[in-house]
Amino acid sequence: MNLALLNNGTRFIILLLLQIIVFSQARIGPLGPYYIDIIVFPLAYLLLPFRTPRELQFLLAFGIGLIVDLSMQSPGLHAGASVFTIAVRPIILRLLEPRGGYDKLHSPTLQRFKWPWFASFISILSFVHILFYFSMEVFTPLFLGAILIKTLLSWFVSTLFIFLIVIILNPLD
Amino acid sequence: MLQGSKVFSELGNLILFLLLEGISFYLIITFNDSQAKIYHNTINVISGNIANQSSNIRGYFSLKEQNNILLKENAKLKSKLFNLAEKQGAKPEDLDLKVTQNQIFNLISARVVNNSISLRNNFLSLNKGRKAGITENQGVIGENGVIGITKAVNDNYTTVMSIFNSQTKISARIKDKGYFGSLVWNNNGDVRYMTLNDIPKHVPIKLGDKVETSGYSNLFPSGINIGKIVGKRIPPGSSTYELKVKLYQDMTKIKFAYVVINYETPALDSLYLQTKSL
Repeated sequence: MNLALLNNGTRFIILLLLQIIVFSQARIGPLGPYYIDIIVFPLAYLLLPFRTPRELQFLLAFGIGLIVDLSMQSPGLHAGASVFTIAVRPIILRLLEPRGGYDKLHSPTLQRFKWPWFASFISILSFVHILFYFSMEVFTPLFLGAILIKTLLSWFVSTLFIFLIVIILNPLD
Repeated sequence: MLQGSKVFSELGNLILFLLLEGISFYLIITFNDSQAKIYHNTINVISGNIANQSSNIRGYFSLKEQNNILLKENAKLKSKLFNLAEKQGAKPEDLDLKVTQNQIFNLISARVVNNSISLRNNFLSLNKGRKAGITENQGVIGENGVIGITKAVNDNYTTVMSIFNSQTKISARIKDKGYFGSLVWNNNGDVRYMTLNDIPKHVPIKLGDKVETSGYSNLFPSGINIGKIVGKRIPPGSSTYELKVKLYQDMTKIKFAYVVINYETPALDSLYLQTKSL
């Protein structure tokens, strides 16, 4: 229990620092208006243990999203996206549920699951987060094309970086 | 599903989810400029529609009264027209009410679908917009006086900056004397009175003198009655009057308004720009 607290706490802090100090500084724009935002911090709340109380999941996702928002001067965008994504997480988990079900004490980490499962889990939910983020950023369905292009580009790059972080830091339960 | 142990019910989770998303949404539309603009624009269109619908329905209840008012106004206008024609020896075709080539002003009637008078900066909405020929910066008058100036126009609705707005300034003059000044509202919350400034203190002013539009601003035709003077004072150290004007128009219950289209505005504006560049 305490180990999980320590692991998750460290994860939140490291990912927050990485997001704010490194990735938020680099807005890549090779395609004119369709810039790429690298968004890696969702990994922190996506890896919360299965047993985490639902309310706590919401509040943690909201909190980390809000902190990133404040550093990027986009109040509400990441907070809303994070709360939405953590709300969707159980649905995706149910879709990906292995034959034996989940062990309540585990977290959805690479330590417990194989790459195909982990990759689909992370890429689906980071897509949800980034889609919500850009929908709120553009804020009008009139520019659906712009939303989708930005989402796809940022999703691809962000997911690659998330996998890279997972490989390097190898997060545990 | 073993997604987290349950402290609250599913309903509690849903409420927490909605609450957090609500906070996020509030933050988005409060602290992000472009999102705030889109939000307010959308709300404007939606509320314009709703206000129009409810005004449509409420309109039925006062049809008779409104009809009487319009009839009276029509009769007044017609008699004025005929008197004027009599005085100036007009030809019969001049009495035709159709829009002609060389007329300067044209009025577009519209219904007031939204009106505020209790704020510091008040606005009204009209149920006609660009499709009817309305553009920004046109005067709006009512049956008994001036209502405001058009501020924002979309295809079907117009937002009007009311005379009860700290940014509105209307060029007005004393009837039959010709001295002009600017009519403003001093934000005191009393919508029966406005203040006429900039009339030099050597001018003999009597209480009860009438105030009308001066026609200098090309927003309004000259000679529209606005109100009468009920109080005068010269602020210490000032060389101009501060006149209290009681309005004829009761802004709290207007239902119709006329937007004044001035066909000379483009010509006057270009002339003004020329003089400015000299």
